[in-house]
Amino acid sequence: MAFTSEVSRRTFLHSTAVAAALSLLRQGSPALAALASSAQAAMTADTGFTTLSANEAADIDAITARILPTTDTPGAREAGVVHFFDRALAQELSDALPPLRAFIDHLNSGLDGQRFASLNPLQQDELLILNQQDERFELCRVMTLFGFFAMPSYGGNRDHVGWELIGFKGHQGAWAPPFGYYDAHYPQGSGTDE
Amino acid sequence: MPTTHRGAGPMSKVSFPQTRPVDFAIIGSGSAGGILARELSTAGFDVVLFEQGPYRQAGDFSHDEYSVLFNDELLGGGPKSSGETFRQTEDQVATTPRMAAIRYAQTVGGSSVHFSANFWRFRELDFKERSLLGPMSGTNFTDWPITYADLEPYYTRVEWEVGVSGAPGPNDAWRSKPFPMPPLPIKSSGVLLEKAANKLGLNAQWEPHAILSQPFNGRAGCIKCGHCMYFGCEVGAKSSTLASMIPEAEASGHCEIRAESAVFRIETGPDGRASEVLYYDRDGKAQGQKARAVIVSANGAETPRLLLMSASERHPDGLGNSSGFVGRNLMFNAHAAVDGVFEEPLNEYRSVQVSKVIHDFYATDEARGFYGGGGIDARALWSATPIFHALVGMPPDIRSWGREFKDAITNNFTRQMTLACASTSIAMDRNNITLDPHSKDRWGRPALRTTYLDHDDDLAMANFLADRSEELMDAAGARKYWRHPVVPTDGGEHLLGTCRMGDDPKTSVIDRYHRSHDVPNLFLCDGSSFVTSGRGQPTMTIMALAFRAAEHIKIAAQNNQI
Repeated sequence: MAFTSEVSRRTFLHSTAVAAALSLLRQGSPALAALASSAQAAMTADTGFTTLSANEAADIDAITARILPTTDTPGAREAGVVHFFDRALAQELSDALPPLRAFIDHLNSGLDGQRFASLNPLQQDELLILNQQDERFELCRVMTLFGFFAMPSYGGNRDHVGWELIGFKGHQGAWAPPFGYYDAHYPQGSGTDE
Repeated sequence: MPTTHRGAGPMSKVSFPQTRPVDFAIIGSGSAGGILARELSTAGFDVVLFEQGPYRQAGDFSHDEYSVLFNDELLGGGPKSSGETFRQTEDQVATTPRMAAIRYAQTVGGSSVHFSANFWRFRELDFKERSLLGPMSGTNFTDWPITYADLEPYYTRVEWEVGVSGAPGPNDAWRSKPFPMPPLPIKSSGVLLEKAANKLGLNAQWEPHAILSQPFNGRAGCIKCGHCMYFGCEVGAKSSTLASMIPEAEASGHCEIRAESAVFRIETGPDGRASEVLYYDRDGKAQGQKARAVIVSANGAETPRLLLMSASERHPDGLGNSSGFVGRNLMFNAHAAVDGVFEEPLNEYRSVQVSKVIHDFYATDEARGFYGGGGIDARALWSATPIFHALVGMPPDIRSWGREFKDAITNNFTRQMTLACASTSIAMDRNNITLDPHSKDRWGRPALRTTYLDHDDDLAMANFLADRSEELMDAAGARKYWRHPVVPTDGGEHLLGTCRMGDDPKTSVIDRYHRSHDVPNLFLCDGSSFVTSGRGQPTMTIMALAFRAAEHIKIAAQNNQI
């Protein structure tokens, strides 16, 4: 195991479509940053969705809100993760759009005309548990994490809520010791090799 | 926002004509190529330094995890662009992986730009283990043709000229000069490792880094931003060749950096000597640069690939490959990891990856029943950045989504550390780099094909270190810890052994001074020169070899012996 191998090993992304999406995701896109800044402008204006239909956006928003639910702290919904999806699916993750649409259709197919977004959270969780081995769910999960934690310029992580939640002060560029509790309580010079 | 400087860098002073031979064409601007370019150009030789990636400067590097870790910003586009393939054994058909098997940075400065900068010297035993331990059947385990004493002066030069921070530890090899700078400050992970080591009778010593703990040689000291692993350093405190050597090479007026230039062939003349380097420029147009001598420092995967691509009537199995050893003996170093969560915040995302390391398991102990040795360090690893943490850093016994998952990442990100184990790989024929017969890269060159399956002893050693790491987590007082299963690797960043040095032209590719046994004006210097893998942090040794090679090449050139 080289350390990076864990990413591919622990996220079980095997279907052709998902593999294609992921390999695209891994294909360096020099225009990515430039595209992201225009997406940021669109998102803050909150002009709605450009790639997803209103129904698709509502379903994806609901799925991401079960992956990272709103509790006493913000979740995927507050971070605007669906806006990350809307932007990324038009750009560096465009190959993921067909499998994601198929997955939404699949979730909705047994709902007698209802949509996933209209179910209550308990019903949504039950349906997702039934589908959690589906590689397209894993794609939703990975993209939710991207949207929650990538820089806000990519459309999600609004007001850095993802970073704030876990205590990552990524926007602060420099640090000085002590960094954490244990080094702050480190008896200076004890047991070192100096 | 990442931008790239196209073409020559802002400091480039010279531009050499392609049709008049330059003294040296150096292929690859990373840990070895950057040093060779500096050493030879400052000695007055004209050098063209080829790099297939762009010429980024410190100001071009960002903390954009999505782009750097997941969109291959520094890696040249990943497998879709490289077409590379992977298989475990030769009876399998190699396929293109989702994540690159061969991972290195394509940018001026190479992987020294994006590495974590853990910077161990080899020890005396690394060079002569075959003599110490005896043969191992089914392997190409052998001694180096040089010793630690041969290389020690050059380790010291790396420390003082490239810039290394550290303090000596109880198990270290001897050194001729102290570190030029004190170690980077201790982190909470280092305190916990030291506490555990003391309980278990082990030694947690300072981790040496190719990162400046204080201003040095006109460069700024580390600002502890926490983005070393995979990222480029925005202040130039990481001692990449981009920050340390290449500016001096350019300032000499004898070195041209030719970025975005992908070499596809080394041409030889009727006299059997290397004569010209053929490459695709940034527009994909084939170009040629004539040279009196060629040095390949393209890394342990790309160096053998280029030699194999340069086959000719006189060199039917690849340039410099009369031994058949070009591409063989690939070694990645084996790895293992144990994660632990503690009561109080560690904030491992701040400062460098590692502050303390245990080297008590460095030597092979025959009582273990297998070959190998390694180190255990305490580090941020996948608690350095949020996406990586959420994807890989969660305990295996919780669901990967929902409230429980959210609670875990919320609590653990600042409270988690990893004990990272790095260890030996054994040189074998079956682990190798070849040209894929079907796949091509974006330039149309035959793609890298990697065939790799760890030796059983490599996996056993990694498991042994993981066992010790679980004991250390327990002794450190972790509230919870878990181990990532040791499985055969699907790739690596340490690219070693594929053009090994040796005295016998039948079983090695280069001599002890990095000169090809077959082609007198062809030199190879990078991780491919290694005979054994060391214990897991190879870059210090790659850089020391480069200083040593440069000295011998310089003398040979001055004496008209190339």
